[in-house]
Amino acid sequence: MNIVELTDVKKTYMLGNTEVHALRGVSFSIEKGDFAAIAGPSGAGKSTILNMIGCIDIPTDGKVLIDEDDISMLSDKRLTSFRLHKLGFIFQSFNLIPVLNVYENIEFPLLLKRDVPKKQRDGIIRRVIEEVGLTDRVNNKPAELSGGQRQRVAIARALVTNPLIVLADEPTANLDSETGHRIVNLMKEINRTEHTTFIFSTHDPHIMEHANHVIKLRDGMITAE
Amino acid sequence: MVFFKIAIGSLLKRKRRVIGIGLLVMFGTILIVFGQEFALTANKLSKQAIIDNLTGDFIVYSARSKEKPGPYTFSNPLTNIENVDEVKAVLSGYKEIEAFTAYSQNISIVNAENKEGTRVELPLIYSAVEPETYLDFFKNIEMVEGTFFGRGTGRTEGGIIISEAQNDRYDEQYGVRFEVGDPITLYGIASGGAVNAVKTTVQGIFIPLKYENSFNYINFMDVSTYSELYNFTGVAEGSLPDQLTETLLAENEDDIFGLASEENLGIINVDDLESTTLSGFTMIAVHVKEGVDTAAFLESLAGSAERYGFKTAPWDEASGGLARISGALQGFIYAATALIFIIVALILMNTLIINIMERTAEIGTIRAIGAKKSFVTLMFLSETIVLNVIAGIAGIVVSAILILIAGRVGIALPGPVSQFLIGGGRLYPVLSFVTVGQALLIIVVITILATLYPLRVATRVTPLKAMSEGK
Repeated sequence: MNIVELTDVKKTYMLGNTEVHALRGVSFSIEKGDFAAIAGPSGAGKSTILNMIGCIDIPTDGKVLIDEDDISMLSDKRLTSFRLHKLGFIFQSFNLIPVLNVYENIEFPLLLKRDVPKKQRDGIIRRVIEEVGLTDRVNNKPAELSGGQRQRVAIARALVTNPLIVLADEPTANLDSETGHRIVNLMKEINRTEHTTFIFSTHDPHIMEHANHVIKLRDGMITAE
Repeated sequence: MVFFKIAIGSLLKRKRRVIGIGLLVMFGTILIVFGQEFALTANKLSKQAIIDNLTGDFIVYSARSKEKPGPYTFSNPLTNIENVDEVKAVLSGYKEIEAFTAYSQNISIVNAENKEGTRVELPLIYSAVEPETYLDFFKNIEMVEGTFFGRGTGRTEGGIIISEAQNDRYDEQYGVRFEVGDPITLYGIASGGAVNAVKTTVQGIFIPLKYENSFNYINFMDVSTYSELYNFTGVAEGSLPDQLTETLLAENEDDIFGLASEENLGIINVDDLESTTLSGFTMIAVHVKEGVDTAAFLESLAGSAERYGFKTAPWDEASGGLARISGALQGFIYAATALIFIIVALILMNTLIINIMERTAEIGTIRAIGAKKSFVTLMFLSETIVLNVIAGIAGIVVSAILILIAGRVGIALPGPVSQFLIGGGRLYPVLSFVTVGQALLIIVVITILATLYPLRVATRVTPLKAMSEGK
């Protein structure tokens, strides 16, 4: 079952007076439970695709269907709700809320959902914290954690709402290779046990090896799939 | 309430900037509370000083007068209230009126002997007053020598009362220093141009209790001496022979010549004549009873005023601009406060925008995760409201302490400022809860206004920014 479907997606934007063609008609689909990598050099269009699947950007032309919803047709409010309920994000620079501790950062999306009772919330948080191996860092602020630990918090935060898809934009780019591998292994493990769909961008061939579905891009076009 | 937690956390994280803004808001609040209370107290004391020492609650004056009454009409006296007894009787009939006193203001010449034995002429600025009522009404002077025209002795003594400062000045400039009981000659120019001279005595020397700058040079004359000096003493109308009255009332020459055949025309028996004191008063200062609304009462007095030929001027109109000084001060304090708060609002706005710029990735992440724009709004609004309300409360506490201290020891104002503002002396401000409430309200309103534009900027940060900022 396709959970993501892109059909002839184009994205053009202006950079000063220059028209930049970020995507030049990209079509592919990702199935539920995939551990998919979008690979390619810088400027290939990896982030643009992730942004569209993440409902934070819309195509200039073509269609992006997520869980059968055309994101171009959704209002800003619906897109916000869509992101909260169906998507999880892992950023390259972790993007944790600096004033909240590990527990609170992970709790944040659940608080936005408002419909999860405190006790249940606590259970979910404890479980994901254990899953990412941060039980001894619950009360630490992001500034007190290493890069790998911060990315684990980001993974936990992305997983806590039990989303359909977890999007990770170059999740290992700011980590050393060993930590990067551990993070990818963790993501892969969650994908295997929870059947959560992961879509991540990378230009690291070693990371790509973990993916069961690789979409290779160059200059805004798919070169291999 | 996670937005509140983030807001507080962000405040604690940016301590130096927060303290800077907090101090600014605190300073603005102190200016509002202390300045407001200072101005309010000055306004209240100014009103009280004018009413107690210069005008009463309102002044009655002749309907024929083209000039408005004022505290300093010496060089340009108002028109006399001719029927002053009638007007006084009318005023006595109103239960709302507590007391009144009639007076006039003028300038005369005093002829006296100096230390070398030469006669010199000295200018005398004075209020001509009713000795019986004046000091019960205006408590603006204290006698240091002699009596206030025999007050307290059981009989009225005519003459002049001069201020101690005036006496010193006479001594310096003319070599004349008056003692109580010194004989003097007063000169006055009556309306027809005749110069009248009245021999009288110095009855006392006083010091002013309020408005020293003015009362140091304003002296007093009793109304009888004043009437004599300006020919306000005349023959009682009823005691004149009928033929003479008819002659005086004749409308044309024929009537006058018609009276020529009268046998007794022109014969006046001096023994039959009675003297009467015509009014030399130009103003009557009136106090209303406590709780009486002066403005409303003056409206109810309009009918009598028209019937008896007088006009009224409330204290502020009759204060000759003194009432406007405290109003102007209040206006200045309001303007200064507004200016400070515009500056505070601009700095606050600027700081918030910098704050938002620095936190673009954080806002974008929050939005990407699924927070609505309203969440971002609440987050920034709580941040600024918490900071400003805490700083505002600190400002109120500091102001309250300052006001309590100033309320005990008083604020020493520069001499002339104090004189014109409150009639002299220290100013003792009082803290009112209304001002405190107003200050808090102003802070909240300014905070919200200053946050509107930065909030617009913050809510326009897209989740896309989180992706791009992080790289």
